[in-house]
This record gives sequence, C-alpha cells and structure tokens, in this order.
Amino acid sequence: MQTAQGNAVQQLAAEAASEYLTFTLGSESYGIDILKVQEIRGYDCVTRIANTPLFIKGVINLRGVIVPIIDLRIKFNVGEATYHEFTVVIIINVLNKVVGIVVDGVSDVVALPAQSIKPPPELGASLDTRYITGLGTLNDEMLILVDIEKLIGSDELQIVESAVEDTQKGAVNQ
Amino acid sequence: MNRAAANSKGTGMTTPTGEKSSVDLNRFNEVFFEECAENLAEMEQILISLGDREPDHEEMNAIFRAAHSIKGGAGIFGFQDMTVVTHVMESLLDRLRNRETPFVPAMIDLFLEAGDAIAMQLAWHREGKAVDQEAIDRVRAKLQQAIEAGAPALEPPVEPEQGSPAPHEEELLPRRCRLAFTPDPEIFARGIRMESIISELTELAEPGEFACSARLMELPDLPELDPERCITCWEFTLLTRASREQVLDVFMFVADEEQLTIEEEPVDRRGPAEEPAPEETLLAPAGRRAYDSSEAAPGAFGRRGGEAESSIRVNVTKVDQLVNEVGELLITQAMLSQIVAGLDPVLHQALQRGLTQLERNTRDLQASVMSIRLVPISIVFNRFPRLVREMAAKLGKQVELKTVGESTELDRGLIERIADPLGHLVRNALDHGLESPERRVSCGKSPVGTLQLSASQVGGRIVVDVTDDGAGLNRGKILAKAVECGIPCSESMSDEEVWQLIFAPGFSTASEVTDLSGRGVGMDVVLKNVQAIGGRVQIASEAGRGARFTISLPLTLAILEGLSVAVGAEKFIIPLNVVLESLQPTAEQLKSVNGREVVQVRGEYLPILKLHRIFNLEAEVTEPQLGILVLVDADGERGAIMVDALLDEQQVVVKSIETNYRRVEGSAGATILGDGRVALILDIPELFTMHKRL
Amino acid sequence: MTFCNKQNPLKGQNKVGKKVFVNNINITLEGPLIVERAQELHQLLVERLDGVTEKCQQATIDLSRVSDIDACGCQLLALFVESLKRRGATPVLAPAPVGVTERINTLGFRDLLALQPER
Repeated sequence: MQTAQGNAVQQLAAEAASEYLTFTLGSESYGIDILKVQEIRGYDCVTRIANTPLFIKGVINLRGVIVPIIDLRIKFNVGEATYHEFTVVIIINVLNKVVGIVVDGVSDVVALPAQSIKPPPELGASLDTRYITGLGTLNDEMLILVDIEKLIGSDELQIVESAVEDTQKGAVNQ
Repeated sequence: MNRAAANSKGTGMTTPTGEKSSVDLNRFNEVFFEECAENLAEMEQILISLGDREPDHEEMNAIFRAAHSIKGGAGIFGFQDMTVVTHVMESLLDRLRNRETPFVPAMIDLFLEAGDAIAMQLAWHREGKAVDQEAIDRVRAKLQQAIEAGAPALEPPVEPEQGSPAPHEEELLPRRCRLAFTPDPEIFARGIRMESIISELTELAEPGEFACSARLMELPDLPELDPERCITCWEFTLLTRASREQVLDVFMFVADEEQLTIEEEPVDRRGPAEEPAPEETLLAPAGRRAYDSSEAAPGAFGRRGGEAESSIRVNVTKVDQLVNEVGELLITQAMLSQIVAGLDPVLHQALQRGLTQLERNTRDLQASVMSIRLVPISIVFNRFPRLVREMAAKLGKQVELKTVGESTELDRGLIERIADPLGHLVRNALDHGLESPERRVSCGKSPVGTLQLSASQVGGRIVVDVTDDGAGLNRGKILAKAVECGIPCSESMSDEEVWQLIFAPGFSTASEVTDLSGRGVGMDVVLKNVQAIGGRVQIASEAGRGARFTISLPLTLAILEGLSVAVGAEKFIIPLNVVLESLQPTAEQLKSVNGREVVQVRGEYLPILKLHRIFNLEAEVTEPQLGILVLVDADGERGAIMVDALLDEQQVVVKSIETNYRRVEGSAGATILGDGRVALILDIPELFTMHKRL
Repeated sequence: MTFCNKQNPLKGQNKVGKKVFVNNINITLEGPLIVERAQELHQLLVERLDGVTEKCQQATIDLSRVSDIDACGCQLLALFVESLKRRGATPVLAPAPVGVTERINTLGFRDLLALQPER
C-alpha cells in the first residue's frame, strides 16, 4: 500500500501540473483527472434497473448509448442524495466504459502542480483511501483527488463484471 | 494494487522480428490479419474439397493466389516469419503448376499442414498465442523436400492444350500503368514497408520497366514535422502485363480507394523509354476516386476471385455505425408518429400521409442496412469438413458429413460467436456420439456414421442442428456422472431433464479426457456462449438411434419486434416472437397451485409472473384480474407475464447494457423509446428462472 | 518508445551547441535511419538545424556511416535538406554505402536526395 501510494505520487510529480475537475459531495471537495471526463449533464430520465445496489440509480440514454448512473453520495454515505434541477452528472470515460456519476455540484477545473499534492491520509475521508491518489490544497480548502479509474473498476461498484468471479469459473471448467 | 496494473494494459507486444507493435498498430494490422485468415480458409476449403484428386488449373491458381497474397501482405507488414513458409509453399505450387514437379496426393496434407503453420504464426501476431517453431521448421523442410524430390521433372507436360500456366493467368498485352499513391499519414507508424510494396510492383513490371519517384506533399518547417507522419506521396510508372487487379492487389492492405489513382494506356501510344510527363493534377488526391477511369472498381480492396467485381471490403465498425444511425432514425420516426397520433387527423392529413411514407422508407432502409451485416452460415460450416476428416481418422471412425442450408444468412456478429459452440458440438458428436465401425455393424447399422449440420430460418430465428446417428445420450451414464460430480438429480427425472444435466458446470461424460473433445471446456460453456447471443440449446436423443443438438438464435442482434408494456412508471419490451396472446383474466381463470398463482387458459395452467415482484417495482396493479396477462412461450416453457398495461407494438433497436455496465438479470438488452428513455428488453427464459426463485 | 542503445547518431560539431562560427557545417549520420528511430532522429536534426545560421554556406550531410534507411528516414532526410535550403545553406549529401543508396533509389527518393552537390 505504502509503496503504491509512493508510486502514484511519484507519477504525479513526473507529470508536473495536472488538471482536475473539482466537484462536491456533501461538504467535501473532490477532484478527478479532467482527461477522464467526457462531459457534464443534468440528472434526468433515469431508468431504474431492478435488483441492483441503491447507489446504481439506473441507466440513461446518452445519444443512443446506454450509460449507467452511479450516485457516489449513496455509495460513500456523504451528503444527501437529493435530485433536483441542479443535480449534476459527470460523464466519465475510463476502462472503455462510459459511466455517469451523480455529484452535488461541479466547481471548477484547476491545475495542481505535482509538488502541492500530498499523499492521502490513512483515515479521514469518506472515500476509501484505496481510491485516493492524493490530497491537494485549493484556496485553503482540502481537495481529495480520486483515482476514478480504479474506483469504477473496483468490485465494490460492480460496474465491471467481476474479474475474480470469472477466473473462478474458469478454474471450475478446467 | 494488481488491479491497477492489470487495467493499464496496452503494453506493447514484441513480434518475432523484434519490432514493437502497440495495440494501436494491431488495429491497422487487423485488415491484413483478416484477409490472411480468409485466404487460409479459402485455401483449406479448396484443399479439402480435393480429397486426393489433383487440383485443376483454376484450383491450383486459387491456392497459389492465396499463398502469394499472404506472403505479400506479411512482407509489407514486416511479419518476416510468415513469409518463410509461404515462400517455400509458393515455390512448390509454382513447380506443380508448371509441371516441373509431379503431383502426389500426400501434398494435399502437406499444404494443409503448411496452412496450419501459417495460421499458427498468424495467431501469434494477432493474439500472442504460442508458436511451435519446430512444427514450422518441419513443414518448411517437408515442402523443400517435395520441391527437391520433383526437381528432375521427368514427365513432360501432359495436357498441352492447357499450356503451361504462367504465374499470371492472363497474359495481357503490356500496358503502361501510372499509379499515384497518396498514403495514409500513419503508414510509417503502422510499420508498412514501402520497399516491399515497391519490390512487389517491380516484380509485376517488365524487366527494367519500372520507375518510382517520391515527392513531399507539404514542406513544413522541420521542427513542426511529426517524423512518423507520412507527408510523402509516390508515383510509379511501370510497363506491365499484369492485370489491373494484380497491380491493385499490391496495395490491398495499405490503401483506400481514394488514396490510389491508376491510369493505364496501351503501350503503343508511347515509346517504352519515354518518361511520362509529370502531371501535378494526378497527384492531387482530393475528390479524386481511385477508379475514375472507365473500368468498374475492381476487387483490389475487397476479395479477389469471382465475386471480386461486385464486392467491397468495409470496416465492420462503419456498418455498425450505419446500423446504429438507422436505429436512431427509427426512434425519431417513432417519436414523430407518437406526436402526430395526438393531432387532429382531419387537419393534419398531409402530415400523416407523409409520415406513413417516412415510416415505410425507414423500414426499407433498415432492412437494407441489416442485410449488409448478414452473411451465409457456410462460412462456419466450411470449417468442419477438415475437422471431421482429421478427427475421424484419429478416432478410427468412419463419418460422412452432410451440410444442409449453408446459404442461410445470419448476422455477422453471430457467425463469429456461433463457431466455437458449434465446433464443440461437432467434436462431441464425433467423439461420444458416433460409434466405431465394428460396433455400428454389430448394432445392424451401416459402418459409416452420419453427422449432419443443418441451418434454417424459422420465423424470427435461425435454427442450427447438429445431428448424428450414433448411440444417443446415455441416461444411466449421465445420471451416474451427475451424482459423481455432486449435481442434484434423481432417477425420476424426465429424459429432457436428464439431458439438461450435461449443461451443468464441470460435467463431462467422457470416461477419459481425450485429446479431441474433453479439452476442459464442457457443455456449460457451449450453453453460456449460445445464451450470450440470445440463443438456446435443445437436445433430442434416442438410445441407439442418435442425438440432435439444436441451437436457435435470433436473426440479428440489432433489431427486435417488441411489445412495450408498462409496470408502474417503468416500461419494458417483451420480444414479440415469444408472445402468444394477451388477456385480462376473469376471477374464475385464476387458481392457486402449491401456493403459486396460475391462470387457466384453455385447459392449461400457466404460472403468473408478476414483473413488479420480480423487479421490485411499485406497480399500479398487483392483482391479476385488474392487470393484463401477456402469455408467452419461450422454448416450450409457457407462462403469463402480468403487467399494468400494454402500450404499443414496435420495432426496437437492441442496445447492449453491457457496453458500459454489467449484465442485468432478466434482460436481454435495452432499447431507447420514442421519448428518449431507456427501456429494458425482457429475457423470458431468465424471467422464468427468477420467478421460480421468488 | 525505447531504442537500441546505439551511440548518438549525429556527430560533427555538436560540441559547439547552438552557435556555429564556421561557414560550413558537417553533419554525420550513423546507424539505421528508420521509423523506429524517427523521433530521436527528428529531434537531433532539429538541433542541427538550429545551428545553421545565415553565415553557413554549405552543409555537408555525411551518409557514409548509415547502415539502413526506410521511407520514413528518407522523408525525414528530404525535409531536412529542404529546411537547409530554406535557411540559405547549400546541402551536400556525401555518399552513403551502396546498399543504402540503392534503397534510396528504390524508394523513389533519388531526386529529392540527389547525392551530388547540386544538379
């Protein structure tokens, strides 16, 4: 864990300044790599999918493509999952998947120099540290930088069909 | 932590020639790989059809062309290893063709073996599969031997009337060809060897009658140049007897139509030594088609051979995009119809007429577009003669393979995914189904077993049968094996239920795992693969008479006739091909059997599947007599699906949920309705399963 | 991309860096001039070009130590020659080994990379 975080920090350092899209979940500010963001849209016309965890709000039609919508507020127990005309969905494109995440509001795009990013704390954020690449500071406010790709690919979110499950099946078939 | 590493795939793989090839590069190479695979398949098909007969002139040429084209492409793309076997093979074929080496039937097997070696190399480049270099060397040595063995050509040409066919089947009069080639800017990055292209062209030219000149199309300042981007265009002038197709074939893997212009003129108009005047306009590619001279577009960019004149090669993604766009059009049209339905028909008569016309046009367009994706199932069937021939030989069985309905067409996407399950069923039938000749004779059957592959279109589905006249499934053995594997079963099960046991994971009845079937994948994988494309597998078997495995598939994955229904605020699509009828039940029709609600329809009791319960929805209707029951029949299993209301019968475009999400139980995909919302398409057999679990 | 650990393919007066005080410059290319090394070669040729001032009259490109060349290398070299001309220098290509010269001709770059001082 320790080394991996170290690597992540090093990697960031190598890239000098990266740009992040910042958004809020409840009272916390988060940032994700702007390059992973496809677009931002409002929250509407979500079709529910039965027998899925609560944080999977359902799917939407994004110009003919079916895109799942995840409410991170429910998943990580931050803020209140309310939906109104200002509710924002960030459409991200990672791991060859297009996924929408519901957030309380999108703030800005900021460039953070690598040296200003500190390693993530062991505890403290609502989000599991596994998905945090580091902490940034913006106008004296803490910005939690999320490894959105790892989060989306995680077994916890159950968006990507579990790799573990597949290999197990494979083993049985042998 | 490993996950992250696994996710950041795209690590380049190294080809045997030591160059780096990235994922992106592979995308470009795909054209070559596909063409190469097709050439191999074509070659194999011809070889198999020969039996032990000597190939005739035309067949020989076809085999030669296939080998030559693989060699050429491999050279251009820098897969040098692949040119080695093809080269020796080509030499042998050339000698055979010119009757310098006499034909012996063993050569057929040798060529088949060579084809395998090349296929293995192809798989290595394409998927990184391991290569058995020894096998390749062996084939190469054998081919070489065959060449040397026949070297002192003792027999004079036997059929003088056929003449001695030269490498190019038609000896055209030499013409002067001028080619302007404006390559794709990525041609360098793709690893294409211009020198290979040029040397192929040189081969086509009469000796010394080839000229080539390069020109920079733009002159950016050096620092601004992306050094891997090609800004060079070439002009080739050659005096050749080769056909236009042969010339264009050289560019098969590297040029789109618009990147190549060709001008031909009979040689007598110009002295051969005279250099053609450089013509600037010739080099301007914009708006210029490759075939704007009088001839029809030849097959250089499509398949060669008979159908070459009338077909073009199109990237599948382009077709898919077209299908998608037509799908969008259908949705828009449905939306317009919905709006107009709410208008006063008297006032808007013209609008409605126009819309009806639009609807017709849209459907025609859709049908035409869908037909592009349809390919005959013979593509898959053709793989089996060889498999059967080789397996039968290994097993010491005698088998006659019959194929019926090879021209049945189905979606290209399905074709690719049906090949494996079908191959598995064929191997199973040969290995476990058909008996040895002695045994067959002792049972009073002909020593030669029959294996039949048949395809047909039944309603909206394609049905593929694999039938053998072997021993049939052995009930006792299956039950014993199931017990051994810990699969729940009982003696009281019906035959059909027993047959289903073989689909359980980990089930295999082969007493010993043979080299031929039982390769660790069981029938469960067959079932899974078939289900993944919306298909079903059924088994019919009679002891001592044989067995039949039936795969039924949707005609296409892309469009579906559906019935849209409402449950609470949600809408669902029920595929129309499973719908029998819909009704509002009376209280007398509703019964309870073992605590389960059923409806009695014409003497039959059907279980009631309440969608709101299966999907945990809030429905307006929870009592069957207030709602609507849609009676469905999915592969023999019947039931009544309870919904709030029926909405519409419509064609829907099937979209994958799995593209961006995982599989959703009970749904066979999703679609977008006229109002832009997503609706799930119900997978009825899966609903039955979910219902039973409730 | 990583390349074979060949030496710096560009030699000559690179000690001088950006400024060149002599009227003639010499540029020696080494090893294979192929697409796999395109980025590296490009970068070095750009650096060489920076060293060319109005004072330069003749730029000799020595190809005698080039081991291989492909179309991408030819293109790069041709554009380098053009860029030299644009900067007022007269490029002169010193002969390459026979195999390389043949390859240049085969690839149709005979005129663009005329191996004589000027036609």
